[in-house]
Amino acid sequence: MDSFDSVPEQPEAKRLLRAALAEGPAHAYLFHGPPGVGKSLAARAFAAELIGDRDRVLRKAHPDVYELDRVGDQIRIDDIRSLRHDLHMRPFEAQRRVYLLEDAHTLNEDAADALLKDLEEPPSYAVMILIADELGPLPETIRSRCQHVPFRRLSERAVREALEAHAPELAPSTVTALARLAGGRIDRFARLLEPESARRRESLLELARDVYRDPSFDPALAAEQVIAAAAEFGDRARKDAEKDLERFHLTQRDADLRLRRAQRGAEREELLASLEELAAWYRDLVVVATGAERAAIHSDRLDVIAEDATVERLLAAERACELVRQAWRELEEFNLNAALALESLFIRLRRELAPNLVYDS
Amino acid sequence: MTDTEIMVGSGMKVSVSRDELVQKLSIVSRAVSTRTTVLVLGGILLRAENGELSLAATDMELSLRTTLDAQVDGEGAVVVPGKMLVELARLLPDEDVVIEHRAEEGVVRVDSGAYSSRLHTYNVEDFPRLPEIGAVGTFSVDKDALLDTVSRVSRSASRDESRPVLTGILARFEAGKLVMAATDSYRLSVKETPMEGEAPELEAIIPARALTEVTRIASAADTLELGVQENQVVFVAGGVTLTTRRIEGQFPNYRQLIPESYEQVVTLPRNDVLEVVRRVGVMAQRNSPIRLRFTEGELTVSAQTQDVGESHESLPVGYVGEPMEIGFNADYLRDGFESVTGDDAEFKLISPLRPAVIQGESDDFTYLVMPIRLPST
Repeated sequence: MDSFDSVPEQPEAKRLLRAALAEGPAHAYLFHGPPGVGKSLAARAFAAELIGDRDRVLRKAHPDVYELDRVGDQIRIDDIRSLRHDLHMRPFEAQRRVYLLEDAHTLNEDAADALLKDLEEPPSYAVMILIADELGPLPETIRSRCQHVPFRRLSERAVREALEAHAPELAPSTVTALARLAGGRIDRFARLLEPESARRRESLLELARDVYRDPSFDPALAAEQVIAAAAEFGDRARKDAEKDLERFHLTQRDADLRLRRAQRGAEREELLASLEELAAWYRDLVVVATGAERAAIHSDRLDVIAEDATVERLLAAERACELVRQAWRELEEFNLNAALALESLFIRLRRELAPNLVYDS
Repeated sequence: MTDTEIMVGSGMKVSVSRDELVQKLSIVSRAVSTRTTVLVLGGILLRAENGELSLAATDMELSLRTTLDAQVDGEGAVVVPGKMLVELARLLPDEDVVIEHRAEEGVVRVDSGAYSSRLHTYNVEDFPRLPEIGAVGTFSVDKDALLDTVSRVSRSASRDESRPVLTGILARFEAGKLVMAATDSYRLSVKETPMEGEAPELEAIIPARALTEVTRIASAADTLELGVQENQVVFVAGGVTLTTRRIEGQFPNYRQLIPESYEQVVTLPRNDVLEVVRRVGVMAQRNSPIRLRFTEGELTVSAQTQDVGESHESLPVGYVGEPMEIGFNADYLRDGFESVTGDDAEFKLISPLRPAVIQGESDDFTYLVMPIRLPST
């Protein structure tokens, strides 16, 4: 029984970390793997074991766990300077001091440079944990100075179990659908379970179907609708961040940066999640049309899917799914104008799925 | 068990004087954190017991604690948002203030006259355990000597985080004396101060910021106590306890930096030279050096900055030998003459490319400053 029990799966990461605890930790670790698979959870659990005061570390109340507090979209050199300032002072009350650098993949070049020396030779009491969703953006100099701890996408079963523990009141059919929609990410639960979630998903799936059913489907309006839903999330995240801000003395600039980051981050996450749900719908049309109902993601909508999943639509649905995934990749990687990208996506979906339905313009 | 770990009572209730509360809050509030990741650090810990209300705050680097007299009607402890409490305490209408923790509602009531407010609280168990004073013990030090030493050396401490160890001041207690040293790698201040008392031999690098705070709490106090623990240093003065984390690392071996012999030792009228350096230094902008040209019986101080202007001034000094010209950062040179005491200062030189040393006539203070290489020397 240790703090890692709360982390689902990830046998390799756990094996490495338990060995590190048994043999004595290295200076610096790099936890890497897709978002929402338990990296932060594992980092905190590791910190709890290193420091020894498990409850307080897990409650985020231990003074010897330093969380890098990034202000903007990137980790900047000022953030690293504050860390350095702290790093070279001995621990507050424990024998060790643990530094958590979430979103290490957002380190900008100067910040990465400034971190190098301390990664190589931090004071003996310090353990640094870099947490990154991807290794690509991290310079080789940073990567080579850390012990790597890989995290993998979670199995559907693990997500299901985590979801059941998180929201025991859900009906089994809903659990299945939501676990599949979570796409292996336990950080998607909050989004899937919030009160407006069902309604929002309903209207998104309505759009997905309108593409091939509604003679007067308007791609621009559809794009607007998806974006408005994401903007709602952004606004809410901003308001939550505002509430937090009241407690602190921040400069106006830092406060603005922090709010903007919260808003943009939430908006973008929601947009990407919506596109995943959309892609899943067209994928389900293919899956069900070929007789594999059990593999459907929107498994609580099988009746509707069965109605739409005609053999004639099979090839178009497959291409539609790929179009949505491509849009997802473009939005994820590049700073695109989301409204234009989505409108163009809906035009192409329409062309693919309903070439004969006339535009009503 | 540490000092701030206490039983959470049935509900803290105290009556205190507003003015005293405001005054004590203003002391501890300097350690309230503005960091956003650990919320409880934005709080002030209030603890009522034995006829006292104690206040504590920490930003994980520096911690401040003090107490005030209170009529305690219920013992206990609670953490309240620090910024909020400080702001509202100042504005309370009546001199009598009642603070009551209502644990079941998760709030603290602050009542004064007809005014009543309820503040949300943080979890007491989440407040960091501040170092226990009794564990290692403190010894009393000569307060005036220590504060004077701090004020003389602290401006040489670095403000640049690229070498964290230089943002601290080295403090070493030896038999009968205190040695403090600070350097930002451009200049170095070392002061040795004879010190009576029972100080054991020890050495620590203390953040310069913490020592500035020590000056603040101790200047009006009668005594100053100090204790060094493995990770923290503790100061107690005037009923206030300040603790600070120690800086880790190897302080530069400053003794190696101070030359053993000099080519020239010039005695300068300290005040006059300081005035000249301040006046002429105005024209040393954008990293332009201030120049000191020594010739037989005379020192000429000059500075010029392109597109800004030029200034110079001479004064008679007892210089004998070949002329020598040496350049410095004007601020660092001025700091040196400001830090030494006495009517005369000794200015010790080897060559225009070697460090110069400024020493006062009356005490054991050394200010070493690196020269700036002048064009055409």
